[in-house]
Amino acid sequence: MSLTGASNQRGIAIFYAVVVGGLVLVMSFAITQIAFREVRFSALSSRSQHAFYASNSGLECALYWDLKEAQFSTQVFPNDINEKDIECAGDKVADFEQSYTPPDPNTGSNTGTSPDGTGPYGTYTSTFTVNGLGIDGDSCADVEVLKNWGGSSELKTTILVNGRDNCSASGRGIERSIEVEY
Amino acid sequence: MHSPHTNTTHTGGFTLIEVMVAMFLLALVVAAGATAASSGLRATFAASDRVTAFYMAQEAVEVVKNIRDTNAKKGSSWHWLNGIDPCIGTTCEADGIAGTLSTCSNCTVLRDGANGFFGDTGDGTRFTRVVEIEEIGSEDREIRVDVTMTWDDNKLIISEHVFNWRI
Repeated sequence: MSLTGASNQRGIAIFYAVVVGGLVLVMSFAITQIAFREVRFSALSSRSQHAFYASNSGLECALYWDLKEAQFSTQVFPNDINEKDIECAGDKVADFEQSYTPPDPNTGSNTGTSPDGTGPYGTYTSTFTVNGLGIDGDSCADVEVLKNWGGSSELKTTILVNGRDNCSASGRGIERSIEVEY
Repeated sequence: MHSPHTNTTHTGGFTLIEVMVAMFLLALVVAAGATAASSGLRATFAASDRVTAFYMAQEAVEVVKNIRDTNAKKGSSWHWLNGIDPCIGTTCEADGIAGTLSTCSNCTVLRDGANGFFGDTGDGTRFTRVVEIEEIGSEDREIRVDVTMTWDDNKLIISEHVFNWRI
């Protein structure tokens, strides 16, 4: 009987060592996992920060050229003969384009002449890209400025900016957007 | 001859080896675990420093924009770069509480022990914050604000373009 008892005790120390060791390993694995996620999060947050400031710079650019220089059209092209010389971040902005969307007659929108008398009601969209933002000039911002008479006598402006931290063709970027209405 | 005594002695010897193996295994696992946990903790502290750094960088940009906005509220006779211009072409520090910029040479961020705020009063910290401002073009239209945070061997720079759009 005592022999059998001794046999049963065999390997108990190794068994305990494996159990305790396993627990220690699981705990340290969990701590490491949390830590690496935090590192990843902080790295992504700083890239996101760059994208946000690219976006914000694009917005500042659009606000200046709208509020100070009135460069975004409320007229049907080619009636809009304003020379577009929008310069931001030390360079002329890229891919400047304008378009006009007439109001939807089915929704009862006003299809007459806009209150400033320069064109019909509807939405006038200007889009452009500001390059050379960020520390190394790798960031950029796509800006869309919408001028909408929307059937009322008040002109509503919406600026939508998408800023990216890395705009080179090969790199993957993080994008942050800002929308402003006034 | 075949006595239980011999058997018991044999089992005792085996347990000693077993204990040694078990201790070796435990030591190995604990050492591995401790190394992993300590490198994990170090990474956590590094991540927390980085988050602190970018909030401080963000604060400096906000200080510059706040000065621009305050100037605009004072009327059109007030130049939009008042309070910002001493920093053009030189290194500055920002005070988030006072909302001011001032030139600095080593630009260490200080921390006020009484309220815990980072700024330019109190004791020195491991962080330095340098605000550099460059005028873009000559039309009085745009500035570029670069905030460089350094701590230990790390660096974080954010760059923002601020325009004179306030009317």
